[in-house]
Amino acid sequence: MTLRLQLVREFEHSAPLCACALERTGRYAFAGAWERNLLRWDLQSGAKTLIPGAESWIVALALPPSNQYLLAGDHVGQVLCWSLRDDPMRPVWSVQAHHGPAKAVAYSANERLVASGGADGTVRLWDLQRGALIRSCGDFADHVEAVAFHPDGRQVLAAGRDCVIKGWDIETGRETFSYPLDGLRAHNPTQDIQYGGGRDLAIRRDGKLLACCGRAGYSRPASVLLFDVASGRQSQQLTAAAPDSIYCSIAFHPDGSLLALGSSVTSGELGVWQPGQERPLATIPLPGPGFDFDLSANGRRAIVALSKGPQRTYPDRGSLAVYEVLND
Amino acid sequence: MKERVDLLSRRQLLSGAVAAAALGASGLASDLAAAHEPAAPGARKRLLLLFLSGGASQLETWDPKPDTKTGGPFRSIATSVSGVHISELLPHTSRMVHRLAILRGVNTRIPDHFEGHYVLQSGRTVPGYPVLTSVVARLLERPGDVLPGCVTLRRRAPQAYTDVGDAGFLGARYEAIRVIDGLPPENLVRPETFSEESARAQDRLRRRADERFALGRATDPVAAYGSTFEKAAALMRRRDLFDLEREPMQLRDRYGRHMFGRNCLLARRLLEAGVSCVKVLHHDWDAHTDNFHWQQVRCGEFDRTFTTLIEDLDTRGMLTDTLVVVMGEMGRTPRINNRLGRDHWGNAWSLALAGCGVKPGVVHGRTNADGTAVVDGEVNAAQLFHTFLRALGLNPGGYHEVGGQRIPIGDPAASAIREVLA
Repeated sequence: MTLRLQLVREFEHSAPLCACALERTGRYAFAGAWERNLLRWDLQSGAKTLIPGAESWIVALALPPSNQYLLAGDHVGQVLCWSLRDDPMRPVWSVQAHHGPAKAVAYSANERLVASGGADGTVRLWDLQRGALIRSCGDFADHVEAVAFHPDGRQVLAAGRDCVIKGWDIETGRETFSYPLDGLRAHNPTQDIQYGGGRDLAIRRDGKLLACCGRAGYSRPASVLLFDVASGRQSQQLTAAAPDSIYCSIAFHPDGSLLALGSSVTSGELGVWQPGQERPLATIPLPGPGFDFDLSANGRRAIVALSKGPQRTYPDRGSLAVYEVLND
Repeated sequence: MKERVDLLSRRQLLSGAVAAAALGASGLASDLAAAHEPAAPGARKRLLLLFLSGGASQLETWDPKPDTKTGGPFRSIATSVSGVHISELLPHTSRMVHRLAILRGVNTRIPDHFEGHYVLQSGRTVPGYPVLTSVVARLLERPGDVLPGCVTLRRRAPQAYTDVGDAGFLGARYEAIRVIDGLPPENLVRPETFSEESARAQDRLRRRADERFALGRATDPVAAYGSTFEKAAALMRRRDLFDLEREPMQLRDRYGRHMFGRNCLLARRLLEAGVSCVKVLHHDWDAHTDNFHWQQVRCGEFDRTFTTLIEDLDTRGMLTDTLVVVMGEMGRTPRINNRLGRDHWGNAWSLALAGCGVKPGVVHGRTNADGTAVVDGEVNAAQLFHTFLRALGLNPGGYHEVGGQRIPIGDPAASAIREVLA
């Protein structure tokens, strides 16, 4: 069985897109762009709605499955929660969550908590209903790029430029584990800048396999590290063929395979990997470099936030590409 | 924790001096000395060059374009000058814009580190001219000066282009003494096991060797070397200047404990002690990737340190006699690349001035709506060079006298930007 992705529709926008989330019903897709509006597309009619409320570019989105709220992080550190039941949509709450961009948001399985990760190196837990701060976890020296809740419901995880994944007990804030991401280091010694680290996190539904993506070195290909959750050991490193690229977004498909969005300066691709195998099952070229993608809960649909333009190095517009995911 | 104090090594110093003497061709400290007119009496003028190496983004600093395709994710904020907005990444600076002159129409057409470093500091496109700090050090030199005329403060591991630009034909005498990581030159301190008498004997031997070497040779490079050695040694005798712990802890905190903050505090101490020109390098503005992250990090360092520095100079009564120049070798592309970076850009960017000779609260020059072109008040590197000298009360229309040749100090085709001069 191999996943096959088929582009079914592409919605154009006047600015590059940098984040996206697919609503559970499959009717709406949301996106953040290089502008202050939240974008919503009706995937059936193609109608686009611009929703104000953010102070800056929306760079992170998450949609809890109950379909009541949409969570967002923006580039000036705000975390926002919109009610999906209101029409027009309006923010239920917003908080100044981080100093610098709020680069990642996630919700707990019981939909009581929101986790946010910021460029200030902190991970924060919020009450989803009210937006009240519950706890700050972690003290990374560099950006937090990804947050996720462990399927056990007791831990929140984060990864970032520090080249480490850490977990914390939600109740106590105590650190529960720390896995090094040595395979994703991309340090430029001339500038003394870490361009690598973990850019996204995903946990397989059975809770046994943890994936973290980035690049396999400075000017090197995109790569994913897989960890066996029980032992805490790195079990595999999956590295793409395209040189000088980065995996910036990943998700496990319900069938256990891993989808990874890779981008270089001029192109993008979706890699389909089967953990345990050395080479990708498939590599699907995209209409442009991508910044984010999302997969529906049933695994049958994927959306990708893309940048486009006459000179792809300097994009001046974007699109939301919608794919049907077929299992051959 | 006590901060380490250390100095540029004697070996580094000597190799720098010799190289500069060689570059300076017939060097010509004696010619220069003959041509040199002592600076006007009165309060001593000083130059402090804060060099944002790598190229700061004008859109994330002095010339924001929020809500445009090129504007990036940050907002603009009001400043202490009505109607003037700068990037929200400079909140402290926004409260002292009434003390600054901002130039938003810089067009050097140079999207290159090496060329930009040279041209912005020398005001010339033709190689071989001395940089601003060397020229000013010479023009502000007074008989009896003990400390070096110019000092560059940078970190130990620079980018390849960091040290571009030197004293050119002015020779080693006006070459900047490099202070690395805030530490005084190494190997100039007499070890405790080495007696003072032995040190004096060693120095006599060095002088004799110099005199012997100079016999039958052009003496100027040797004299320049000797002068440089003396100035470095003089700096060494003022090791106390490098001990930042002598400053109140609160002030050190306000400057910032990072390299740029420590170097700015050291710069103030050096200027206060009689060094006429100090260049402080603030590294790593070259954000081809993740520009918005890196501009935020760099601006965060710059913002508080810069405002503290200006306030500190003012409190000490030094600001009216100290020209503070904030510039880099270029700006960054208005267009944002696919890695959320901005690339090299010389066609429309900004810099800022404060202090001596500067008309405060002025914004000169304007770019178009998306920041891709200068539409009013365009200025180039030659004009900037003239302006810096004029602000210091110096004559950029004068001449260097070198080996019997008269070389214009500033580009004769350019003139100062009157709109930003007091």
